[in-house]
Amino acid sequence: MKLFIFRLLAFSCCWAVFLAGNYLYNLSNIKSEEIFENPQPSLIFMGDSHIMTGINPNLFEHATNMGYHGEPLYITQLKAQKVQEKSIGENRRFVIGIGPQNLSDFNEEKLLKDKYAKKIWDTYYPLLLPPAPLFKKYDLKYDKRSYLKGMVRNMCLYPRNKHDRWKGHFEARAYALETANLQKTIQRHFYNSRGELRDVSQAAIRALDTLCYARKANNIIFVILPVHPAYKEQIPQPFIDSFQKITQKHKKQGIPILDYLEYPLPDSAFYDYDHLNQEGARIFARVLNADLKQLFQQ
Amino acid sequence: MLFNSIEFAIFLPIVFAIYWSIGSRHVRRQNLALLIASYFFYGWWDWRFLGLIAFSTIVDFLVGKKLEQTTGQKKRKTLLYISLASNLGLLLFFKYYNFFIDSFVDAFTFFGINFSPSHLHIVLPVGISFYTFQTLSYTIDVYQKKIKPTTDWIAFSAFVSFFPQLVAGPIERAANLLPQFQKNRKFDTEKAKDGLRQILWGLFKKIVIADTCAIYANDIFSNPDSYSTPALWLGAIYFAFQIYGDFSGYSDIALGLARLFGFELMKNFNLPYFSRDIAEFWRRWHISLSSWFKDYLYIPLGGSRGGLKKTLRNVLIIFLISGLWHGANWTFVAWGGVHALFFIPLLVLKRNRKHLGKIAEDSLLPSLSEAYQISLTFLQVLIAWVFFRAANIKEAIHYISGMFDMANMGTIESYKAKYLILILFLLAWEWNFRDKEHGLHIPKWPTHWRWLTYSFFIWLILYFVGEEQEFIYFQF
Repeated sequence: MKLFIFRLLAFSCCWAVFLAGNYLYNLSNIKSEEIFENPQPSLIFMGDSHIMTGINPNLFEHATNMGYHGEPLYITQLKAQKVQEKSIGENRRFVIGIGPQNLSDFNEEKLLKDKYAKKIWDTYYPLLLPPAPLFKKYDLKYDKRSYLKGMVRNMCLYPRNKHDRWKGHFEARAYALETANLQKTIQRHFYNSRGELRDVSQAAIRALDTLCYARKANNIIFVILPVHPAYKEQIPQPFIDSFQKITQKHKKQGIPILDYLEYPLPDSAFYDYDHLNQEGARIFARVLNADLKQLFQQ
Repeated sequence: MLFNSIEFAIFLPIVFAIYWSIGSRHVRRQNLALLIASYFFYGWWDWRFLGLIAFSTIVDFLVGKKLEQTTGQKKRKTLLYISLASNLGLLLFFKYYNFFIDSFVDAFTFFGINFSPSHLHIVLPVGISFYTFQTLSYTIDVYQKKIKPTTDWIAFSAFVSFFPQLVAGPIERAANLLPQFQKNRKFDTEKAKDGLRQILWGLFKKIVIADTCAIYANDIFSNPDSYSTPALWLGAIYFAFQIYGDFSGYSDIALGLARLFGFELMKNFNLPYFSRDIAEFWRRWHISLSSWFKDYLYIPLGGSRGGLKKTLRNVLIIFLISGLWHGANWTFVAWGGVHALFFIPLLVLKRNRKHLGKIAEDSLLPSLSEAYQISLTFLQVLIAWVFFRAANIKEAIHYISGMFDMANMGTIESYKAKYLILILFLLAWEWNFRDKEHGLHIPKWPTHWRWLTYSFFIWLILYFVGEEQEFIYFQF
């Protein structure tokens, strides 16, 4: 029995050393990793998949797109904070994509359902390393087991030299409006599984407040990307009202808000009902470029 | 409490330490420790249902004792009926009440009589089908004088509620397991080591194979209309390995855990997907259930004595009831029926016991004819699994017709097919270990190779571990 226990402990110790070694190696890589390669961008687009598919950074001067699928605003805020911490002395402007769907408490639920939470941990683990200050800051409930498993999977299993998935990217998409399911998208964004209207996410509101507070050190611009009129029509009124209220509040505080929600674009510019495609991103870049230039001149 | 949960990872070492610190000379105390641990294990899920296990235990313990004291055949039969009525009564009420009500309503509606009886909101107690069958086997064996009843209620209660196999089998026979509770159990290092290896193998099958296959199987089965013919085949293959990894993984963990505590449980799976015909599949899949039905239903019904007609009737009954045992839905009955359809021709042609020997004995690979037989059997099993997985028979038929729709030969998204590599790995590994007790039965390998192999599987488990998903067979 003693030998059995001894061998079991010895084996467990080897594993503990292996896991801890990988963790430390990955941690040091994350801490020393540069966010941007040269040339350094001065215009940074951030947000969820709307930014990811709608903004082609190559059509802007010294720009990069850090948008990512289903990114909640509290993660975007954390991302902006990390970039800001690494950008001392740099003159950077943050263009944050926002929309009514970002206010849905579906974004808070993402941390509780393993299906979504797994993606969050696997993508943003460098921003959420233990003890994960984000959750306390925003009073977010999260699945602790799923979080622990995500950290082990991404930090402890093997040494990695790159930890850059969290940075996001631009994704050029083709036209697929014909096969898109508008009702499914609306349901997912604004209604829960019982078909009830979702609540407004308090974490999203707090994340927007924090982003605006950080304006003292950085230039923050909010941009509301165009959606298909059919999608716009189906956004529940409470979300439209809350969104308007929040944007008005930040406008009063002096945050520039560029609102293109109802900007007229042909169907051919859309990937689906709420995302632009490659062609849409090209058309929209012209409009946004002009407005940004005008804004920066002011 | 799930075997693949953090709670269980804490529970197990505590129980292990207490159990072995008692010492092998104090069997009753060890049994009591196991009994308390088992009730705690079950109560963690829902303590209210502990009463059902206790009830089943008390009834069969008392009936067993009374059967010993009673000589009159009529009285003995009455006692047996008391046990059957109590156990099957619980099972029928908790598992099948609403199903039978619905079926009666459907049948009456078919004849134009409409009525709407009230349904009960019944929660199905986990593992009820398993432990009721286990206790029943005890009473029937005592009745048939195959075993002597026990007078040790702690040993009997621990036998009924033994936590490694309480909720999803193997359904043990009293003749095999009960004596193990009555004799001294010494700690055997080799046995314990192999137990841990088997637990690791079971966790690999559950977490890496079953839970991963489940993602795409669920995806494809939930919306078959949006998938091409090859994708529907892929969905069926994923489900076949989901259920195999899930259930055989659970059984491996159960066997491994039992070994840690000095017990030997019966083998429940023996590489079923390498079967050369359906008859062999049923000798390799859920062995404890098929042998239970054989011993306690098929043989009492007359078995194969009494001509072909009677044999066919008995076989059909066994398949349909074993289908129904899985759940209160006609899809399970249909699943059993489809297997019967594949099995009966073998029986008629007297080929049902053709493949009793080992597969590809003394050769590295199967012969061409064996490979053909294995593939054909797997194809039959795959089609039957669609009935098992579908929500209703209409959906199952719709899915199967989609599998043969030659006009919908679209492609499979590569990310959905990538996990086939895991399945191929499992098959290759199992093939290599087909003569061994389980996939990680490697006691004679050098230590460094063993440790590397364990590490490889632990690594895979940690990499693939996701949401703690319940074992499918818990619902049965």
